[in-house]
Amino acid sequence: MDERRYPEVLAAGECAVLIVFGDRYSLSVNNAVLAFDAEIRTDPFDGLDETVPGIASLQLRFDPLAVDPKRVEAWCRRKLETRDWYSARINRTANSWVFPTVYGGDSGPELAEVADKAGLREDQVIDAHSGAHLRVVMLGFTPGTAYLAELPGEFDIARRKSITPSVPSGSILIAMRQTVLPGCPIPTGWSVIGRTKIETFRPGERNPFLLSPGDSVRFEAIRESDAGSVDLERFWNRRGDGVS
Amino acid sequence: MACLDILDISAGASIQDFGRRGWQRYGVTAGGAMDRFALAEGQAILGNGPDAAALEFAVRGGRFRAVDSLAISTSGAQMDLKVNDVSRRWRSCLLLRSGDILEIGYARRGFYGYLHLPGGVEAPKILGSRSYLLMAGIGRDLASGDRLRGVSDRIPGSLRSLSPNAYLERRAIRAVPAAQIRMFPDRMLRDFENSEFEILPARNRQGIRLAATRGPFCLDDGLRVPSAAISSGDIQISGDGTPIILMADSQPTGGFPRIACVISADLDAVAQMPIGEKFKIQIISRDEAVSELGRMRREIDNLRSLAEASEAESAGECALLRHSLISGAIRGDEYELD
Repeated sequence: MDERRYPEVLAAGECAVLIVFGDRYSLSVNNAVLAFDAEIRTDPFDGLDETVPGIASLQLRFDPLAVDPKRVEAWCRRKLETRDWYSARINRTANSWVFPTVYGGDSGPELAEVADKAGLREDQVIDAHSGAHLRVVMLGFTPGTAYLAELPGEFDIARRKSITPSVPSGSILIAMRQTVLPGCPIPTGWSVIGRTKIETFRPGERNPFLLSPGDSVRFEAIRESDAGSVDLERFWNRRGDGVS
Repeated sequence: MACLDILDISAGASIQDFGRRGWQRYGVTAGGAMDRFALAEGQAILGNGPDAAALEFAVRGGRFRAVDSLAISTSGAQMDLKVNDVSRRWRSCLLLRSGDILEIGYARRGFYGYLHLPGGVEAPKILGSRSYLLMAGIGRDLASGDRLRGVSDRIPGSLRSLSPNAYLERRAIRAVPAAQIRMFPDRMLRDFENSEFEILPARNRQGIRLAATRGPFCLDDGLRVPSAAISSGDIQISGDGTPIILMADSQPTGGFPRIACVISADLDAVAQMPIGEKFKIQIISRDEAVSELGRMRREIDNLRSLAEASEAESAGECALLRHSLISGAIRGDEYELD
């Protein structure tokens, strides 16, 4: 990565600019995205509609008739120069979650395939995945669907050749050292290795999202017979300041 | 209550308003009407406010029975419209009486048509909007036997209408650079601007797939960028080089590079192009795109007075019509303002 090139401020249509912090995921690049996002949300400019974090970029959406896009770009460049965003502490209270998860079997039909590709035994895949401290780097694709990084190098496996038309919400999907936790049923080409009963999207609630970018998540392996006794409300009741 | 029972409805019909703002960071795309100008037109005709939802149809409407007397309006794609087998004027307000059969047939011009009820079509407001977003489990497929309800049962004092708008026929589409435009070599950008595009049958509320006479526009095989926020109107170049215009219900984030973004003022025209339609895409400056957006907003602001002007032409008849509807002495359709 050419460090000098980033961060760069790019026009993205007439109603948005995209601030790109790097050309791939890294902890420091995602740190910069979330730190700058928190800064803008604390101190927004007039005409800003919303900010949308990506894995390595932040989109600012605004009304170009309320604020000149060129002024938005200049404002961003000035703000970007005020500090080193790559080493900034994220200015928000992130939640830490431990999600009870059933690996393999009907809950994770592609566990064996993933073990084969990673060159591990199934129990080693479970240990490695449930031992990893992951960060919600982005929510995207469908409501409440979390992208989590980053798994050890053995999990740098490609997407599958075929698309599964629908996997349930709470499925643990992996590919390319990332984990995706869908908030609603989705089609996917990623490998399903397990499932948690924790919902990350409840459409009827006033604030229907459990997770926010920057939250940390660990998946905890449980037996299928214990899945029924997981208290879902406990998770929804303990959302803290991390949800804004 | 202003209610219509659905007797038959085309696949892909959904309830839509202007969509959701502020939730894209949680993975929720803005959604909303595919043709926002048409939504505003129908609201102006019926005297609805800007947050009123409408029923959106793709290509074909359906058949409905009025449960009681109510006012409706239609907008968007020019669709065949009949009440009790008698043809009626599109893009106008109609009064229906209990038992009347409303039939909305195929689109003759355009792709998406809208049916409006007084105060808007009732649906639960989720995350600030009544728009269906089926992939997220918000809303559901409508079917015969379902009942559509208006938020109010107001019967307007007069029947407004609007004349057809030229944007339904616009075939010169303008776009501004997307964030990843520099990934595409100059030669490819020239090809893009010189290409003629055609709307392929694979189109829905998420996106419109295009065939191109130039290109392909593929970069190195499978080149992706880290997933980044999508704006509706973004023209994504998929792995095989196919351009796709991302529309209201597109994914909120994606990893395929985007070459350009259709300007907001032309996105309704894109939504309304039928399958097989051919058009060109011209890259313009962001300043021009912003001034076009301003022009469109002024047109939308002006719709209500345009619609009101239509009622002045026949104010006397309107008063009589309203009176007759209430008294029930004569049928409304004898006084249609066509």
